[in-house]
Amino acid sequence: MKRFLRFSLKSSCCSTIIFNMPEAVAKISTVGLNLHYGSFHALKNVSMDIYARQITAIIGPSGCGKSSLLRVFNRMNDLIPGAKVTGSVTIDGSDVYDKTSDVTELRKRVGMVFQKPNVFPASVYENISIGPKNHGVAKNEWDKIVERSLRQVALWDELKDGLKKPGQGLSLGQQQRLCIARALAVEPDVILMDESCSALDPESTMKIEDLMNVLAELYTIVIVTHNMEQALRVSDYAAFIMLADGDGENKAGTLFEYAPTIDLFSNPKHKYTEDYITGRFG
Amino acid sequence: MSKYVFFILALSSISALALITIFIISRGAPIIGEVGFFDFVFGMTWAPGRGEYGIFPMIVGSVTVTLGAAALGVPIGICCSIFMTEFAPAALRNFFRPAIQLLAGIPSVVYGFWGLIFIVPLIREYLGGPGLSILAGAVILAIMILPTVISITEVSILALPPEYKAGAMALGLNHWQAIKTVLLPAAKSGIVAAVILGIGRAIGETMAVIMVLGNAVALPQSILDPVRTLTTNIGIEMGYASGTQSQALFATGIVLFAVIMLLNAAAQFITRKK
Repeated sequence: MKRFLRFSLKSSCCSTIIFNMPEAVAKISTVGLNLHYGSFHALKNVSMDIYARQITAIIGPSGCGKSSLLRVFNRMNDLIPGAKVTGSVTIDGSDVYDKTSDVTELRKRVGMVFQKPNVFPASVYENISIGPKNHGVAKNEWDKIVERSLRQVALWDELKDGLKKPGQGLSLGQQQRLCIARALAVEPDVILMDESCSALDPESTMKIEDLMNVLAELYTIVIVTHNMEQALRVSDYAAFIMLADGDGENKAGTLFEYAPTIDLFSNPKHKYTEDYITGRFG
Repeated sequence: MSKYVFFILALSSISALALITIFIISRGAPIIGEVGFFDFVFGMTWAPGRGEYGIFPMIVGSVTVTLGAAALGVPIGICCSIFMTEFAPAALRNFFRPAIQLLAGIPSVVYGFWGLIFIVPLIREYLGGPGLSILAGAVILAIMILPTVISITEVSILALPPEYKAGAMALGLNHWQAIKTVLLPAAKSGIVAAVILGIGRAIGETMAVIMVLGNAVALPQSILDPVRTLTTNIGIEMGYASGTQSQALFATGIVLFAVIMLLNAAAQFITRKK
């Protein structure tokens, strides 16, 4: 009940910002975005603005291209042979897929947290300092960065005496928070979370959701989730994606509806959206 | 019923181990007792004619040749595995992998012969000395341990969850940084096992090195000096050895056996610990 209260407070405040104040800033913009994996048309004509310091949830049935869309924003699709992006994707106005843009710089600005916690087989300290270390941050800064990042994910008090212990020895929930801390240590301004709670128990999930709300004060957060309640609890905006008939027999991931979460859930404009959020399919 | 047939056949492979172990220990142990363990292992003179059996120069020979082989072969092998797992396109990888396995199929006598005809003159001409040397042996063994080092390193890199690499790349690391700071440390135990098994392979090799080492029983002063290893000592003298000399060769075998057992156990311990 308490959380629901906060959610409604938050949502109303956000809708005020967006609809009454013109300075709502688009952090990420896509225009006519298409993604192909070889001959498979994974995303078709996606145009959307993702707003700065808001939590945007991407929802939709399995295999509809939610994660693919998320991986467009930090170009993780580049690692998949045959992946091809057309259309424009800009972050703070600069083109992500421009030939001159540096993909490692992009990924420093756009952090990612994965579905399963992927803590490296190294100590807590090494896990967090691995980004700064590789990005040429002086060694005497690392202590500070580790402490700051762990404080941001509310793990400092639990782990400050065990920084040398293996990160993979932590509980799953702690591991996922460690992964968030690891991403924060690189000082991104966008954080992508790909079903980051789906492997966690309800209590750890709640902690991560609380964390998202805190982090959204400073960071732009985009999450992919299968959990409608989570989208409703945590997000300010929601985008519904689903595979729709494309040209001929080909199906392609299509953005059906994108609105403030509270509007999308209370008053879906599209029948598919309504069917999906009420659990009629998916 | 068939269960017992298989059991007996399986037992025969174990009993071969037991038989060989018991045999070399029973033949070699008395002479170690006679000479004294310390004098046998650390004795500087090997002169069977005068009844002096000190194998220290050969231990030095085995260790230097093997370390030389590891120093040359391990970096090349690890880099080759990294290339195959991380950089090579599939077509190239499918060419490299069987080619490297083929290296393991070349008989050691052919390696030795090739080394004698090709590597030894090369060293004699460009670096001086007799050519038959630690360096020649190390080069040959470095090539011979490549298949072991490469295949085990490759397997341990391929066994890493793909999430490690994705996680590293998502932090803005470039490909090489991801390999160096995430993937290689994560595959560390497998790579260490690869190195140890490679060393075990090198220290036990006889035929290839017997032809290129020069086989002099003396402490080498440089890597261009000829040297005799524990294995080649047995290989050279077994043809005409009898009595205590034969026993001393078995005793050399015990030392060799113990070293290789130790290396294999270490490799198993390291890979299992994880």
